[in-house]
Amino acid sequence: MVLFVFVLILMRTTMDPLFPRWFRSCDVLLPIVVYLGQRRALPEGLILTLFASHLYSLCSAAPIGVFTTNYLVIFIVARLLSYVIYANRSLSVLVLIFSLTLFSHISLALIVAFFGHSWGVFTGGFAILWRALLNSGLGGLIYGGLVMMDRLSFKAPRINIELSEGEL
Amino acid sequence: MPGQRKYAFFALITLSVCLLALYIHRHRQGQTGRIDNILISSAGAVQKHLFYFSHGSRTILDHYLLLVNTKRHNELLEAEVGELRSQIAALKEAELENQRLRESLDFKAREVHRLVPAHVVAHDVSGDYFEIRLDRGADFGVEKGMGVLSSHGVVGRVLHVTAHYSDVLTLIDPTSSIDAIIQRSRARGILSGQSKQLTCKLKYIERNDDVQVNDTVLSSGYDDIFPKGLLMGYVTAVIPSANGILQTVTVKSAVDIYRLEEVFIVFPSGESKKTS
Repeated sequence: MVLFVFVLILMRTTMDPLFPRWFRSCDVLLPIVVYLGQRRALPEGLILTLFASHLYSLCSAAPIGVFTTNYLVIFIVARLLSYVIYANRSLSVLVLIFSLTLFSHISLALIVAFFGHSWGVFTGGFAILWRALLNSGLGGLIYGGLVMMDRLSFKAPRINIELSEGEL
Repeated sequence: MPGQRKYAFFALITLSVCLLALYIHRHRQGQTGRIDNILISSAGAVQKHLFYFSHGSRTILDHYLLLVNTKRHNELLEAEVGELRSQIAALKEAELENQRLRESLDFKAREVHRLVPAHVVAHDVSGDYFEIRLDRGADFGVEKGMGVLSSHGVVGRVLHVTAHYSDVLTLIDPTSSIDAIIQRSRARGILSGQSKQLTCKLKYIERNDDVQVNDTVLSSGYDDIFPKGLLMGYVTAVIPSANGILQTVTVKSAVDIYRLEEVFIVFPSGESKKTS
């Protein structure tokens, strides 16, 4: 999982020349954090989220802490949402990533403002919807890939373990 | 959520938030620790190869496969070269005249900067910001705050430096601010980025300042990072605000930062330890 995150982030930073410019608005970490919140145990998910978001911060010009805080918030929201909506079908995954992209857009702008920077990262209008649609498409693929990796490695999702323990 | 799990959840989240606060406090001055440097070095080594691969693939596509408009483009460029040659001849005359006049007025000679070449190895991972990573770091004498140029104009300034790599905050990043002037009217403002649109905004330009579309934006030299008169971009839109005292000026960067491969780091004269 750590290797997957590492490779995915590094590919995102180096493959720009091969893709059109609109591809820049894709967020590769959001689907991973949503997946960790939904399908992995809390300590494991938290550690991986903190590691991935720190690596993400080191590959960005954003002040250190902005993305770590933002993805930690998304992880908590995804985790809390997992008790209401457990994303195990394509449509629910897409809807979840779409809504969390919209949420992330607002939370990031607030966190950036909290860090003393301007609202330069916030854009309104159709740009957000376009970004959310793009993210749900790409995010769905990444999420699907992670679920596939779980199946191949016989890793049971958190929800199954909790159900078997009768704790949900 | 059962009671015990709920407590565990809140305990872990509280612990994470505390760790996060400590971590942010540690990095507040933009400094990176030993672990960060190891992570950046290992990431940089992988990024270097991946970026060469993606650029190589792009070059093959552009140079050998997608050649539909090449002939027409070539004709346009030939016409432009002819026009530029005549402009260069006129500028050489002006430069010589300028030199003579400076000498006669006993002006102090301009400070000469040394340029050290570097390769771009990665772009910013996020769509909200725009930095580039270079394959030259502290071992090459690179320091935080140094300016970075390309053959087309200003790129940005060095934000973080590790042993072998340095991160450059480009002028299209929203957190970047570079002192700039309009070449024609000498109106002065601060150039800041809009990374999502890959353009810039010239801030604090008064309503009465004379700014027009296609005006050239140059570095003012007041920030001690870039020499005076370097090309930064061209004005693409001017929108005077209805009530305020300022106007909104949009600038297209002269450098296509998205397709940038080689850059030059600006060293104050005699500061570079090694040059390639």
